[in-house]
Amino acid sequence: MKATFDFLRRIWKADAFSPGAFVVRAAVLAALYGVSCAAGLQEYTTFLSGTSPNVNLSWQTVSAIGLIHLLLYFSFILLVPILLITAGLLKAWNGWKPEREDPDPGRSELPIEPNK
Amino acid sequence: MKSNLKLWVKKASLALAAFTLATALWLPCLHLFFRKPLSEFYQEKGVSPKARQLAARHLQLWTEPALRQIELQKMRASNAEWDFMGRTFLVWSLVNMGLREPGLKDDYLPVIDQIIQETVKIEKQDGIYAFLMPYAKARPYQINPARSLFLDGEIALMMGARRMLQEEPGYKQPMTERLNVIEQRMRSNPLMAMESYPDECWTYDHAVALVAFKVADRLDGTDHTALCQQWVAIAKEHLVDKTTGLLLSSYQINGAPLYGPEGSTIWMVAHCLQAVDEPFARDQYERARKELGRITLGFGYGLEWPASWQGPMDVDSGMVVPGLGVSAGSSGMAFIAAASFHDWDFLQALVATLDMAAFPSRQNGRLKYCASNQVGDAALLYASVLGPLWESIRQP
Repeated sequence: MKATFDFLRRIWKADAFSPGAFVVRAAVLAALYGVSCAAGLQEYTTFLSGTSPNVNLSWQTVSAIGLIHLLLYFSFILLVPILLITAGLLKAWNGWKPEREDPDPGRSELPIEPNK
Repeated sequence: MKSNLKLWVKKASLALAAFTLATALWLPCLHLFFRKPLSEFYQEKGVSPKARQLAARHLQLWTEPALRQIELQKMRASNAEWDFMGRTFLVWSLVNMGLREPGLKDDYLPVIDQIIQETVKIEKQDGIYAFLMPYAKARPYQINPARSLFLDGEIALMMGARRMLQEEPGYKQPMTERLNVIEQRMRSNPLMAMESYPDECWTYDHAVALVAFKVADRLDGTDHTALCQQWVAIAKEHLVDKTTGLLLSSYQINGAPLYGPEGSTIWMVAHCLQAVDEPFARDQYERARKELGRITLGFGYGLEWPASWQGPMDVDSGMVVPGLGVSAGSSGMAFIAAASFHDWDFLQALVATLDMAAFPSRQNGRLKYCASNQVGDAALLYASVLGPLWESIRQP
């Protein structure tokens, strides 16, 4: 449990351009989309057809909710995989060129080494 | 400090390069997750799984009045036309399904009759305006008494289609009466135009009416061949946009254009003309496909306007995605034309878009698309089963 927590903490505090940071972003977007689905917001995407799923709500409200789900969905199918692939590519690059990898400030207290 | 900045820039550049490469890798692959065998949507024989699921949802709406009321209320709040078109597309779909699976005809006929009778009853009680948008009342019709080709043509075709599935003598007279009114009004002016809205004639409605004439010829031994040929000849001469060669969407009774070629109209017009004048219909489809049909990264969609014509976003076009010009109305109707003209690549790409962007929702074997509505789903159902009715009309 502690190891998992430490891992998550390390990932969360990872350098903005590290593979871990991209994984975190993907996870956050996926979680937000999951929440949107669980809340049934996909029903509001009917605003795209000019129809309101709930005649008791104003058109603006319905469109805004639908748009939120739409953005989260497209983030999920477009951004999440791209962020994960990016993380994979960076990881592979860092593995292939280890001398270019800089210490992760969230991972250790070592000073940044200059490029050789 | 300088070294830190240099390092930051280096890391950012590396991340940006990785992000760009990841995007370039992912985007062309995305459609593979949504591309399914076309037979899931459309089959030349029998009924596809998606058609069956869509139909189950619509049959539920017509067997559970409370549920139907909710759906109709949602649509009528935006557009009363959609309530009407949702009915017509469903009737035409059920007729095609009955022709595909004669064993299930008896399941569909009661629903078909219920829809037709209720529709005619509403029209009788509340008048033509019950199914028209409010602006229909803004000015008088040019030809009186006020009649709408939108209603007369589609109701006549509903009745005719029902009779093609199984003859019902009770529909013969009302269908003939409507067609007589249409014929009389079309022959009353040089453009053979009949209004759908005051001084507003729609190519879509004329094309539907022509099919209704063809159905009558098949069923009742009448001959409207000359009438249909005459309309097509006039359309080719007066109703075609010079730049694209596509038919205009709407015009005044004197022929003055109102709306130019539009995806939400032309795809259906091409489909209907297929039963009337196949070469002209195919020419229109091919032009529409070139001007308005697109496949990008494996996803198909329809534009509402050709590059040479700009129109306003309205209830027909539906939401138009800025920049791309993707139109919900045109894309939905493109399914009908693509299936009709056996443009399988385009149809498969359209289905991929549908599964990607229309939020399919399945419950107990019933399918609906959340981003669509009842009329949109009914049009998709029609696209997934069309064929047999047109074939039986065109049989020598």
